[in-house]
Amino acid sequence: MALLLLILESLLIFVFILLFCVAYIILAERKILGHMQGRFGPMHTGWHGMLQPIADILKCLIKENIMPTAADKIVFILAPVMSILPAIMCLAVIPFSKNIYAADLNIGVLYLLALGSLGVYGVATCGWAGNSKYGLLGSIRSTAQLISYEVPMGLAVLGPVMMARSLNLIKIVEAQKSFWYILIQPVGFFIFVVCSAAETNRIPFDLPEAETELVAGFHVEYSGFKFVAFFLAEYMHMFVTSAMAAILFLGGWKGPFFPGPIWFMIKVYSFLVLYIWARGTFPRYRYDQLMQLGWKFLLPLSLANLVLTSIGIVIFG
Amino acid sequence: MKQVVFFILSIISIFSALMVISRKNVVHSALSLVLLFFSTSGLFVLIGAELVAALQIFLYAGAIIVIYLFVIMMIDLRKGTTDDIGTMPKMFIVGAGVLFFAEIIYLLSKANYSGIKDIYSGEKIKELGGMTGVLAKIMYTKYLYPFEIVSLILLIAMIGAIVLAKRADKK
Repeated sequence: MALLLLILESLLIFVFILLFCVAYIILAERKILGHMQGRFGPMHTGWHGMLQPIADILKCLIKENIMPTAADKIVFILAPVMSILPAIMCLAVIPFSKNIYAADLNIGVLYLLALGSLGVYGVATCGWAGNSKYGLLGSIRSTAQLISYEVPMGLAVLGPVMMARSLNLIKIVEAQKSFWYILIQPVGFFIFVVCSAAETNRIPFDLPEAETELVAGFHVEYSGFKFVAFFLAEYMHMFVTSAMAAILFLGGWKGPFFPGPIWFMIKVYSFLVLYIWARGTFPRYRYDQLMQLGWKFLLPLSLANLVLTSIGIVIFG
Repeated sequence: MKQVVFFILSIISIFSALMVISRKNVVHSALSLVLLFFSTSGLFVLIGAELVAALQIFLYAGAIIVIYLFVIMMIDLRKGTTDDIGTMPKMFIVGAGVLFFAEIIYLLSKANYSGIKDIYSGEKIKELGGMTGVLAKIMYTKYLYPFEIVSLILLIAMIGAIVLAKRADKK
């Protein structure tokens, strides 16, 4: 019975996030970008385009599914699955409030980092399986980018972990009772924001799918439902990294007046708006600039941050 | 319940291990290897070693196989398959595999488990506050010396790789 309830609860959270949050992040992105550029964004489906994401998904579902003749069939079909599965699995450990979570793991942070690093398989294999130059270029760029930015991201995450003395996400939030970690870990937060934008292939780090050079990048050969899978995976990954930022640096569900889940969603969404804002503001990096930023700036900075944090903990903790 | 999960995971492990060595296409082999890491990490979770399971996925599936895939995609093995490897290297690979397997069997038969069991049983680890803390404590106190040697070896490998890359750059 308890197991059944647990499954039901996880399903509810999952459906809520997948259908509601992720779909409406896409709408929010289109609306906010539109207003930033002096236009309205989608307006016709429902009030101010409120039904647009549902219409989009339904449209893509009934589109023809094209399979390139020279494609590696098994890998071509598996690639969207491999890209969306880790993103969904990440949701299992995200605590929305003190009591709303699917699993309370002792190694929650490690679990999130491990699954986050698996997202690269979907991207890497789909460009290769489609047997297309643009796709392969996008995949190779993406693999190199994800490997490079995983390292500083992991090191940035270690700051809050060391201060809370736990890898458990709930304990990390509880440890931020008196102050948020962003106040003493501003450098860590900055590194985390930059790296998470790179990990989710967002502008200014969206080289894997740079439309102007690579048509659409790694998923250029995909259509219909498989394309939707990639699209949802990217936005779900954004949701997960935003949730990680909220938990590790912004005090999770803690806050006055409102109940926990509402505070959590406010934090997650303000982080997501930051992503969209960056997309409306920054130009795309060049590939060598991207690598230099990752290895020559962010990595030493995150190492220095880690050393300083450990010294601080020894002195003040 | 635990037994059923164990059997399912073992069957997946054996199946994917066989897939790794039997596929002609190297990308398929690499992806099967990822499946193998997943099922073995599931086995680790079953015996309560969640840290080892997470590290298995984080390091092996998340980093090492990604680099394999990266290299495979760069050199385009669509034409070349394992058929192109000559007989001599194949013999060497089989020999090395058999030797390694024999070594593992020998070590397992000689291993002494009682010492570990008494100090760090499942309950004891829970009492001490979870696997991560216990492992960290042992690693940075009792086994600090081997740990530092391992990191030194890795550093040397890293410097070596950089030196090789630099030399190729100048030509």
